Amino acid sequence: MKFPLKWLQEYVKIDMPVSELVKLLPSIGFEVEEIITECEDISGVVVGKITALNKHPNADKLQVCDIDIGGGKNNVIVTGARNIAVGNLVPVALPGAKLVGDMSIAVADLRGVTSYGMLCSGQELGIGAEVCPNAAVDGIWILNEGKVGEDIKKVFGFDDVTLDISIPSNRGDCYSIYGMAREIAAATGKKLKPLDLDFVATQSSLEAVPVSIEYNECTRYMGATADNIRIKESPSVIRHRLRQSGMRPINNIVDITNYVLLEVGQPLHAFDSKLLNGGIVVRQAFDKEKLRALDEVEYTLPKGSMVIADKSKGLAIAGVMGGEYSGITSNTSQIFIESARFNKGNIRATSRALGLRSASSARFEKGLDFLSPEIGLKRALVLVSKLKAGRVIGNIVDVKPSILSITILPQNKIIKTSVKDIAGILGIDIKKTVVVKTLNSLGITTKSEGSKLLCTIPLYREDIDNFTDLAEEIIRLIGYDKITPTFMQSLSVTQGGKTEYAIFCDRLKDMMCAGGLYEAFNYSFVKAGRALALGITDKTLLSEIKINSPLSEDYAVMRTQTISGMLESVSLNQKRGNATVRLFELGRVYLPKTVPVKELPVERDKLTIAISGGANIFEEIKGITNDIMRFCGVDDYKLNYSKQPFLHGGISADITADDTCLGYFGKVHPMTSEIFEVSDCFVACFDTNTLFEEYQAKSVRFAPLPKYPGISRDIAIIVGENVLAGDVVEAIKQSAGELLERVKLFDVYKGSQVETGNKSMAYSLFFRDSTRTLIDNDADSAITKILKKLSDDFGAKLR
Amino acid sequence: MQEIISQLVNETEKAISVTNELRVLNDLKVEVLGKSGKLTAYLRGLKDVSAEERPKIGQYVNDARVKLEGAFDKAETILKQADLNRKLAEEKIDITLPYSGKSRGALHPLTQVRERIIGYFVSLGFGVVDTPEIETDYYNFSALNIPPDHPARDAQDTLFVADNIVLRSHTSTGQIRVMEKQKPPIKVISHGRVYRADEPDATHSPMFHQLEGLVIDKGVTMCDLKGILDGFASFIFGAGTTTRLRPSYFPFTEPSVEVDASCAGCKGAGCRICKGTGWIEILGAGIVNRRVLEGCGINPDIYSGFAFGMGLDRITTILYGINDLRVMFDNDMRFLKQFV
Repeated sequence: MKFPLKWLQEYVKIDMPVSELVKLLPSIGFEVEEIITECEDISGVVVGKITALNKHPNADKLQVCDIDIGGGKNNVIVTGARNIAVGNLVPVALPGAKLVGDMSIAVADLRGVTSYGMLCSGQELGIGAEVCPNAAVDGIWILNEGKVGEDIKKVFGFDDVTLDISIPSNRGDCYSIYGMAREIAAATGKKLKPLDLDFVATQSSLEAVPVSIEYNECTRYMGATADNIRIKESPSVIRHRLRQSGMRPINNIVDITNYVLLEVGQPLHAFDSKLLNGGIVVRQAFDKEKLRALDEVEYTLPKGSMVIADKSKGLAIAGVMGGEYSGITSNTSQIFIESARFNKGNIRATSRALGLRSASSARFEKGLDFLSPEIGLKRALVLVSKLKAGRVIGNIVDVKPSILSITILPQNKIIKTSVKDIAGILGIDIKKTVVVKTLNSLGITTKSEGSKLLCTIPLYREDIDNFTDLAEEIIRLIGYDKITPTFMQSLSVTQGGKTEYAIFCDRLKDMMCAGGLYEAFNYSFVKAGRALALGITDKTLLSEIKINSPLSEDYAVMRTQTISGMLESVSLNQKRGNATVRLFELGRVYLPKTVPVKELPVERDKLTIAISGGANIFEEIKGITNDIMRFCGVDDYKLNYSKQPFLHGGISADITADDTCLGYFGKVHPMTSEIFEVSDCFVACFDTNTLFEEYQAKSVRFAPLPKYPGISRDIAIIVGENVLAGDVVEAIKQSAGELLERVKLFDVYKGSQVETGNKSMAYSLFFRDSTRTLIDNDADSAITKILKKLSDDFGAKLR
Repeated sequence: MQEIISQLVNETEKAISVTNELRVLNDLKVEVLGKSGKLTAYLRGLKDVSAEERPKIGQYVNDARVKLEGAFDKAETILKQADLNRKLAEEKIDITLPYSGKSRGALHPLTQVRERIIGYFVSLGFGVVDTPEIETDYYNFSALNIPPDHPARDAQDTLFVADNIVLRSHTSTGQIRVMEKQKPPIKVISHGRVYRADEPDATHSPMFHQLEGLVIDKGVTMCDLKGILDGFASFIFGAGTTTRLRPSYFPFTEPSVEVDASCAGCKGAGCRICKGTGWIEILGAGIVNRRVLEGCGINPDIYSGFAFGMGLDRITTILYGINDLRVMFDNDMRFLKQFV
């Protein structure tokens, strides 16, 4: 909220410079967002009066003026302006003055006449019609106000400073000049001046407007009538303050309601009471009721919203905006001012449903206390008489809903606490006198009862609930610098650390880095239907959790798979010309149990890898996969051509161990590559939670190092070219007997030395017995068995 | 005879001195000292010498052998060294040729910063939890004393997936889940992804990362909170960093504070990083609201505690001088390679 300093100073003396005040406010909980100084670049411009006007001796288009600039001084000024006359008050830029656009004024000779300054237009001062209609005239700005010699900035209040202060959401009481003045008074030890609420009322035969509340969302409705209304412009001080606060001055009556809203935080609404048909009814909106508001938009009122109506029609959307019909016009002669209290939830819901926020709804949403309507109404009535806007009639209406009997009217909260409790939570010594004085400065009254302190909380401090709130009030006012740090003093020794699973994930990530991959962070939300775009048919992955009002279609659903996001990252890199991409991500997928979501979904972690650019990528990604499997204790896994629809069926593998699928890796399918705009990309994905189960089951036992030498044999076989190396190894292992320690493929040859359709595969085998030295016969008989098996299974011939 | 031997020695020494090849030297050695070498021949010829002359000449021959063996050894050592030097010179390679194999990758800067921070708190005995990202209204709001009409509950701020299920808007949800299960004393860090309805720009992201700490024990005070925050700030921003508390409002803490760290860039003098204030806002904190404790079955008259929460993304951008949040989620290799 914007706070003009002069307005604040009406209620509290601020004798520190602005630079100090903007440091003080954050220290008591109010962030200063902006310091606004109007017409900062203008100086040396005063009000002058034209006392004489003569033709320029040497130029037809120029005139020579005598200007009274106050203090008995007269300046001669040459001007080209035509819209001036003797007796006019005009802004005069004296020699040395600064104007908009870094323009400076000096004594100048104009065609033989020395001119001591310049008469100004509104534009030259950066002031437009919103301040004064005359300022927008083409020519010199003829002033309606101001004293001769007075600084122009002072005349229009531009010597003031406005602070834009952010108010914490629990401090609705500070959303007003008076509320903020109260805080400043408490922080500086100054006195808070009382509001002038003594209005002058006239006895009249005019009957009070009858009001009935038919909807309990209204907890108090007050109102008063004024007649003999003369609609006109408000005084410049009021208009200027409204503008400083970001509001547009309209006319004296509307301005009063807005002024009071800003000053005391109570939204008001003025009706043209001659247009009211039989009094006011506060009721719930009818089904699909329509109302044309002051912004000239017709709104269809949402269910549960509140309407201020008369006998025949809706007049205002309660707490949000008045209706066009009963609004104040230049013809208004009699008004009814509403000052009511509506429940914050109701106003908030209506405002949200309509997408319509106003200064009123913003205040109601924060919540108003029971006394607020009374203060607001009285303050408005004071201004109506003071500004001579009309005649206040004494018959004030004050209605509560019928279920609110007098006995349940809001009572002041009393908190029973002690200095010890308050000091205890803060951890510092604090004197009772300081506690009492600080609380009193905020309007909280205190009473001692033994060691206890009874604190009576004013209604406007709804946020104060228990002694910890009081502790906060005290520490923010005496200063957080009183908190002296104590390191781990009151804290027990506890065993800390990460979970086994988190440590496992850390190790996996380190492995990925060692494998040359960089960690990526992809968004958890993706476009709808990404799983489908990947060709996935698994229903659990196709049902996505939709975000209710997504920011954009890119963030529409929670991902059920991590591949699409990864491919998009690869695509981005490739488009930006990054030739090699090496990425991994360890992140979650979100699998709903039902769609639409009724209970919390399953969240699982996926380790995803993407590689593109470079040679032998299949081998690279297979190597990383193998490392992961070994780390997880999965020595014996099987690779089958992958069934993942987004992978190239012949350059990809699903990894299974004991019939559990642990993941897959391989080249992205050409169709998928086209959809996701990637080329030559390989991916891998593993369910981290499943890997962890394997890891936990892994048991590492020491095996004594071999004592006896072994025998190494190499064999080369000719097989059909479609025989898989892995299958051959499997067959060798099955047939070799226990003596085979290891087997390794070291060469594959296809070419002129081998019959077409066949290939040669060379394997190195190593045999060992842990209890004796092997002899050649041992190895020979194993090789015989192996060759037989290979011949049986694959038709293999020894090369 | 003596002269002949002496001449042989001289000739051989001369030959050794001009030999620059090990093989030639060996041939020469065999030629003179070998079984059928020249000097050996004289030794063999002793049988033809008179008995008186024999010892004398034998002595000559032996002296000559010793002398020549020494000369051969010396020459051999020199030539071997020269050979080795030549070989080493031949093997010399261009050590500035580039490495063409695989280089180590790196963790994302967010992870690196998170691990540093977690490491600090683990050293103080904090446990670490990572709880669900999709949460019920209860864990995200009600249990944290966020009233039904609080603006955070707006669809404008929080992303809903059902009436009562949200993408968690803070990691404070983890605090509740821990307090439900664990009895005090509690010291725990809750961290992970969080979500808000913020359009992405240089300083906002609909997805970001938080790290929160929670301490529940007997007699915990604001001074304990300040102590741990000072320790943390010094750890992460460098020794000598101080913190400043400013009053703030969070429904789940009372009193609540914003915490600023003295700017490491300018040591408090004011610079571009701290926008001239000398302070950088790093986290929010406070004494855990009594209602939150009560809701989790912890008696607030016996226990008290504090909580603090920070945006990891913010801390990371401060530490590395990253000027746009969005670049952290692009996964551009040129970005990621800067954090090795």
